[in-house]
Amino acid sequence: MRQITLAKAVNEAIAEEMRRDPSVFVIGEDVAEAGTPFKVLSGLVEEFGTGRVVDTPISEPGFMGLAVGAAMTGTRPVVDLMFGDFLFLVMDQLCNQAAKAHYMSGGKISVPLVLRTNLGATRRSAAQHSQSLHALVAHVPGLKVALPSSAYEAKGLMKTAIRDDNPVVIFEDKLMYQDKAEVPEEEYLIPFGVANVLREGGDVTLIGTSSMVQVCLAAADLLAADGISAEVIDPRTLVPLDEATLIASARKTGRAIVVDEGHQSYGVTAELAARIAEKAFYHLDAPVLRMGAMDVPVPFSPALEDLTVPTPAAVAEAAARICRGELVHAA
Amino acid sequence: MPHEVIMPALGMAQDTGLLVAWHKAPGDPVAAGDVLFEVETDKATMEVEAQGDGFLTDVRAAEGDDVPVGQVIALISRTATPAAPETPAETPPGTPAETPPGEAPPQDTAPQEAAPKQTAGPAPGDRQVIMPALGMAQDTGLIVAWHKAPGDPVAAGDILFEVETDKATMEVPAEAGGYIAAIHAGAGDEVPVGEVIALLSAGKPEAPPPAARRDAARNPARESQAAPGPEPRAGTGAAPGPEPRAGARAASAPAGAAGRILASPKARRLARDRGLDLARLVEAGVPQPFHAADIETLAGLPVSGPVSGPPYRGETRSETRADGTAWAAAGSATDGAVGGAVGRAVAGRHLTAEADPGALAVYLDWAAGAGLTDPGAILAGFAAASLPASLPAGHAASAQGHATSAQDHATSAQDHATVAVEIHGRRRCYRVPGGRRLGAVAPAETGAAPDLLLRDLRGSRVRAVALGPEAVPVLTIAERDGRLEITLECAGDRLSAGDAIALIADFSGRLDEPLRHLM
Amino acid sequence: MADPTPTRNAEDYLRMYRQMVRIRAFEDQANQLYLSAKMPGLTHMYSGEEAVAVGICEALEVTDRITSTHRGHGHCVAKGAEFQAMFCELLGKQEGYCRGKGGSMHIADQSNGNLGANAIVGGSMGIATGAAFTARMLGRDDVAVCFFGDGATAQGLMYEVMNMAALWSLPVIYACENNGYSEYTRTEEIAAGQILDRARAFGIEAHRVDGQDVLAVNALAASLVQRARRGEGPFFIELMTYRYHGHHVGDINRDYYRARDEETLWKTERDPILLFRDWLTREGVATEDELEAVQDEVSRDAEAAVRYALEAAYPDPSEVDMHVYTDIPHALA
Repeated sequence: MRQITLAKAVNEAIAEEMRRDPSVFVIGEDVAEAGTPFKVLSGLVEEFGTGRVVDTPISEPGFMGLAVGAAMTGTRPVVDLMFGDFLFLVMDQLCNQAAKAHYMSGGKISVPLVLRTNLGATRRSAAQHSQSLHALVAHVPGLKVALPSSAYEAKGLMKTAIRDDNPVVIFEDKLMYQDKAEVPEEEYLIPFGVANVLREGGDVTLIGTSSMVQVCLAAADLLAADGISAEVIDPRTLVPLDEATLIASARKTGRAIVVDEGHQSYGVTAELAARIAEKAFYHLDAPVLRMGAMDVPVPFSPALEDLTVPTPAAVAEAAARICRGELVHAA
Repeated sequence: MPHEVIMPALGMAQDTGLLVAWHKAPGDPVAAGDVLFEVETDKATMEVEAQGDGFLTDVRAAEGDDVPVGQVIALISRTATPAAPETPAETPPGTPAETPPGEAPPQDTAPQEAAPKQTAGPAPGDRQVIMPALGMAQDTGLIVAWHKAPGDPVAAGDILFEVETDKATMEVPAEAGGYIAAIHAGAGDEVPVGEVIALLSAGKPEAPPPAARRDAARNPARESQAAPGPEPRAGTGAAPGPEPRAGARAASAPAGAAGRILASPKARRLARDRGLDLARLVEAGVPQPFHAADIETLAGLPVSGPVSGPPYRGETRSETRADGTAWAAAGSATDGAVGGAVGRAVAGRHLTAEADPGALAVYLDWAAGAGLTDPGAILAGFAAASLPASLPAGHAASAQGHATSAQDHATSAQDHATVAVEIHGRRRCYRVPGGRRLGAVAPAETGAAPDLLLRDLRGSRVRAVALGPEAVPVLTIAERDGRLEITLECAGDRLSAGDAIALIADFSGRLDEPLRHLM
Repeated sequence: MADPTPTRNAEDYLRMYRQMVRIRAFEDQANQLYLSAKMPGLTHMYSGEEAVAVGICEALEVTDRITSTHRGHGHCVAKGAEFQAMFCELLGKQEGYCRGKGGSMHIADQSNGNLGANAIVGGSMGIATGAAFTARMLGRDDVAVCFFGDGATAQGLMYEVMNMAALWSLPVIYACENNGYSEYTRTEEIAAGQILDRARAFGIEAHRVDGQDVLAVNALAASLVQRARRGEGPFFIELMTYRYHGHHVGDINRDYYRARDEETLWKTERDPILLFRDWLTREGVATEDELEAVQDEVSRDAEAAVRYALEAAYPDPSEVDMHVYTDIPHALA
């Protein structure tokens, strides 16, 4: 099977959906000729024209609001938010308007838009261009949230997102655009709410999101060398969440670690860990651990930045300790 | 017609308005737009205009009154004299609509009670009956039954109601005499400790007080917290399903001298499922906290011989069952409540004996004449005196929540026993001091857990019982063919065979020849 | 009164009159519901501004879209909504336009092109601009009108979307209802410079009109709507008007920011319904009696609708987690 980059996979997904449905359009900063600074959208404007690949001024609230109105009235915008950090700029239109319109109208108005943005640190972009803020939007009822962990996931989830009639926020890891994976030529969609078990194991469950899936897989390799068998699961979507798969795995292994690049406190790791602790309680042989990014703004210096995110070694170390029955915290 | 004149809504934070001045008198003609009265708000005095034409009648509020928003204070009628009461044009505002977010609720916010409250508060001289404190970790009590109804006379010491604690059903007596003036919570209600649940008045209440909920079947509020709707009384919103408190408390019962055992949830569950006792891992020196892997170690430990020492209440000793496996672990979530079902499959002991009913009856008559009017106390005294010396007559864990130590246990051993006596379904707990003075038998302190339960089924049609072991030994007295049939049932690890035999023999002997007890 | 557009006839005028009267009647009833403590939450009265909503909406087709504000009952009625479903929505009843889930501040009537009232000041400007974008992209000649108040000109979003609308010549009309007050503060104290200049800064053609003159409003709106359909948009209108009530129904003691006699002046000499009534009778379009009859009929309709709504059922509790997503019937199941 062919291998393509994550950037190419996203590009293909959007192009295919735009061909399929003339109401789909892309809007954002530098999406047309520039194809975005990450070059993910290169070639689209040539095929679909500036009427459907729309460059905007630097007006995040403005074009987010415009997309909401467009989605309410018959088109399907794919809004490009250049950095996930700019989520803070669009929160009113995204969370007060888009997320709630269907509910507040009693089901009469729907907002079928996709907000496409990114997350991920270690790019030396400093605190305001390195945040992973998916927890903020997962917390708002009415939004769906997808986190592709590879080129294969990216294409399948993007196509599903565009066809979904709800507002969907999809976060790509900006460090992964050049990472390749096997992606079929034939069309496929990945449904929301279905987790992916990438590796089966019996001693500990490692749940990872986005690029942390790769981190968990690498950790699993390290653990295997020590005779510890780790199960690795990618939830793929936070909302809707395939909770059943996570719980079943935790019940099987009795140990779970959730790895996510959002800040460790008050984030995705907390939510998934809480659900496991609640619903797999009587099967747990170790405390459920959270491993997120450090609760500090992302530092600029490479010597510091790389300390702030979970690594395969750190995950493997934590997993080995709980498998040995060591006290992670005082009893 | 007629239009209602209401105290208007005055602003976000205001739920009453002070009527400062009337501009019209009853009977005055009124045109739409005329100023009727002035209201003082928190900012200024506001004029309220008439909404229609007519005559001002049925004025119900005076200058200086503080009127709740929405309340009707007058009518604008077709004629000046209010004739037969006309039906208002629209339904009068009853309870104001839901308060908007951020506003203070417009009316009194007393929570909805199961039983209707008296409209006024307690009158001077009334005594409040509160849900008593039940122990350090218990903040609500479930009322199981009321023994009095509104209007009933009450003497000091009379039992008012029974409340269920996590160990037993406790009877709450009146602290003074009087009459039940009102009952605010009924059987089945879970009431926070300290909350007023009834009023006793010194004199007989004049108006028939509102009826309280009688001993209804326990309501489902206890079982399920999951349904949305009326406010749950207890604060435990989160977890649906059976009360977690009993289990949690039992689980925290001290493991003898070793203190709390640390183990993962999985390890505990595996131990419980397999009937293994984690305490043995402690004895074997396995370091805590225990994990699932340690259960295999536990299963492999050598089985110990028959127990010789006293078991601790709430605990099991490592004693073999018939098939050679050890008993279930201490403090599992399913056992612990006295009188509750046994959560483990334990072979029980069932012994019967006979006695002469006549002797007991004669004795009880004589005792009543001598001032010992409570047959339950007498039976409790007999039962306690029959307890084998090896059974700790004290309490392994004293009344709920008090800090316990092995020392507490040692000093209280042998000085008294707590016996629960159940007659006609009513249970009373007695504290029986060591020695034989029946006059010294007193009601047990609140929350004291019994060492022994005695069921007196004389006078009922029950002839024989085989009820299975309960958490404490149970002596049952029934009448059969003109004889008293005495039954002792207990868990096999609770009393040794010898002790069980001694207990029932001794007790039956006392019933047969009560006077012997005094010697 | 301005000269009317020649294409109007008596039927159109009477409909305009009726719509204004309907708005006034609705607001009076809504106000009473609040004062008699029967309405949950708060609402914001449009009384006094009727000519703005009616003048503009009478220039629109049902397929044109509007977005509204927190003061949205007038726009809702003017765009074709029915009393009963509106009152039901204000009371949170199941038969409301939004099944009771939106309330006064989010009332929307999708079938008549009302994309909804909005509790965020200026929050709907992006939406109106987006609706215009869709019309452009799908090749329709629909127009979108964005209603907002003078207070919303303080929101940054307005400038972002006007900028894009101007860049792309979108068929949107920004209608600023300048009633002189931004909540409890006079407009002069919150808006520097001229409101019209803000639009002109983006090269957007901007007009000011007397918001109490329904015919003037309608004439201007009709002309701009026609031009917008032809691709000459966007446009900006500043309508000078006045709200009789406070910012919201609970804002009763407002002497501290607004003088009584100012209110009285507008109510007696600048009332849009009275002014139009004068014109209609003077021009012989209708008699006093006929107009009075319209008034009475509308009052009765409003009363009946309120009675109905008060008796109507609340949504079933099982609806609480419905409509969170389009494809998940119960979000919490």
